[in-house]
Amino acid sequence: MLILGVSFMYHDSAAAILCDGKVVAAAAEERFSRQKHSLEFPEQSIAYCLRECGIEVNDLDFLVFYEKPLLKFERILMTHIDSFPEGFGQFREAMPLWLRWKLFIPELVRRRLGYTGRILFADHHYAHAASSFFASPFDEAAVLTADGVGEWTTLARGAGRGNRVNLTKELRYPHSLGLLYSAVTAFLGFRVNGGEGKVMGLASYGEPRFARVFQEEILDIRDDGSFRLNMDYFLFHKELVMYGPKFVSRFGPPRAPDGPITRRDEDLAASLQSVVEELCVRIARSLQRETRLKRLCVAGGVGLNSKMNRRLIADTDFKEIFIQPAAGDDGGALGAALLLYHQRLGRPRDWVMQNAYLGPECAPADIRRTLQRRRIAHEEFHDPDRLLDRAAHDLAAGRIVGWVQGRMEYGPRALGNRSILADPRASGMKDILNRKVKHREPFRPFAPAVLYEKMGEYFDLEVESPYMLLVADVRPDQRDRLPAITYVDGTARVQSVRREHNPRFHGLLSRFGELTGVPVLLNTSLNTRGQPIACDHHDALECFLNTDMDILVAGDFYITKHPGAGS
Amino acid sequence: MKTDTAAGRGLGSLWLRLSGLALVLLSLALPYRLRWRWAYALNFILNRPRASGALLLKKPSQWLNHALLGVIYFIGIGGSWLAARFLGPKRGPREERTFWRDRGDPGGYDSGMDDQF
Ligand SMILES: [Fe+2]
Repeated sequence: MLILGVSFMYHDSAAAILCDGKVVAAAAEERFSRQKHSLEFPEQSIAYCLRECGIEVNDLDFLVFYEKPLLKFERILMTHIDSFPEGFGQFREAMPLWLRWKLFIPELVRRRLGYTGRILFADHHYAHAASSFFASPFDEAAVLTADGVGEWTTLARGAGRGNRVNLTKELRYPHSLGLLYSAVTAFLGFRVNGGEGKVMGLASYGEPRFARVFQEEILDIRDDGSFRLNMDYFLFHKELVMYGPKFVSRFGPPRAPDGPITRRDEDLAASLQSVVEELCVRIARSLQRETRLKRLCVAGGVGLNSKMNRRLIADTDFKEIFIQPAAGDDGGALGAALLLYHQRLGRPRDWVMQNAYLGPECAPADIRRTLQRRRIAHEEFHDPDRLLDRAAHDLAAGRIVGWVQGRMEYGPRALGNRSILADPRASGMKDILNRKVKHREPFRPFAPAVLYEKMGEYFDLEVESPYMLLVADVRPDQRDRLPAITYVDGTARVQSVRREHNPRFHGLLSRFGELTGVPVLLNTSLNTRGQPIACDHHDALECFLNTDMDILVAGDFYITKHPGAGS
Repeated sequence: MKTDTAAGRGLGSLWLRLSGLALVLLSLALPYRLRWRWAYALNFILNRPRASGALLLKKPSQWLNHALLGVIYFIGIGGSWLAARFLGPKRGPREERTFWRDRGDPGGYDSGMDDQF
């Protein structure tokens, strides 16, 4: 049974393939097309998935799309009717796309792929729910999905048992946590559908002095966490901007994209973050009371908010949590395929997502050929322990190491296979990394990866965080030892690494720990500002050669800029 | 590959504009599930002669593009708005204990996977 799940049309296009219920491959289109958050037809990720399975497109039993385009279209029409005649600008922008291809997904798929088999359509939030519950190790769990908007739903809750997931309640457009977050993101001068993480980072610097404004004026909140947005403050439902004049008159002029960050901006981010956390905690508590389950599965773009996720486990009666690493719409491709296999076809579950390494791998022969052809200085290590030893020594000496190993991650986090690594003990490392490679906004934190066995010594974390989606307090006695990854509020967004999930990365952390006494590395994604994460060794080399990164390790190849350097 | 991401700036065929107008009008005229079956069927039929439609209107101007969309918007959406305003149920502000809505039977979501709605 071969099922291909696809997501595209809004943002984060992706494809995922299931062979007899096991996920063989999954990847976001942006990594191949090199267009960040690409919404294009995921031609290259589909080609990759088919290749990984060794099949042709017409060998597929089903192709499943991650949402219901006509329901989404209905929502857009109905919203226009509600806001008539103010929405013509948005209508004029959106309609030609709908009429040209968004209403014709099956035709588009058949034309682009030459596919003649069955095409099915999953409900957007069911796809999110399936991407989390059916990938989780739990036999039974409560399920929470939250994003900007699917068809109509913006947030849904329910439970999964065995091979069934059931979403019982929902909140509907325009009342959306994701869109509220995106509106403030836009107001603060960051990119919608991409800059939300920056707002979360900024929030740690501020005081939530506007929280009451959100709670009392902008939102209408019930005890059970359900809410409505006061649409007087927003325009996303009818115009091409997210927030309205009332928002501006309440908070002052919006921040220009490259303008300075003021106290107001920090406090606004902090207020938004605190309100979103509070709402999610209330929702999770009422879900826990209703289901009496101890485990929670989370997906949807809001699930990428690692500070919120921490509170879902810390401030509720849930004891375990699984967050789909591709929580955004890229994960919808995987979820749609899983939903079809289990829910619709009734097949039992015998696959658990053990790690996020579902993407393509670079073949050693290709790397060797590229290095030789481009005359790039390198050394091939046949003994992996020696390679780990060399890299660990470099890291301990303060060098910045690009690290390309095995299969690429599914989801927006680099988890040790397409990463840039550095020493977390060096106090100036954050600035060095920003100056030499990343060029990020100075307020944004860098995250740590830690040995799973040792995480409790460094971080106050009661559950594992394999996908870097949980924030934890850095233990007070360790904060001075780990300045590069300890954020301004004493927290860090942790990745815990188990040997069985990533032996080589685990080995590197262990070796670094032996050398320095600290089995923790700064782990950031292998890309430069505004670029998608590297997919193959070509992208990695581009990033390496165009920045001041010191070393690149790709597979067994130790690559330097100058012959003899680093040895 | 090239999809139409330059929203609204491309020039589509008249067929699609007209089918869109029909779709908008149909969207309120038919019962909920039926209207999407009809609308989709209509679009499908209209989509077939797209190539000929595009040929006929090889170089429609941006102006025509916007004018057509204006017609769809003001007749289709405006008509629906009027109908909703004068014929639809009155919606007053309600004081509610909860804003949760029931999602209904999950079985419907499984069997409905064949449909785009
Ligand atoms: Fe979504």
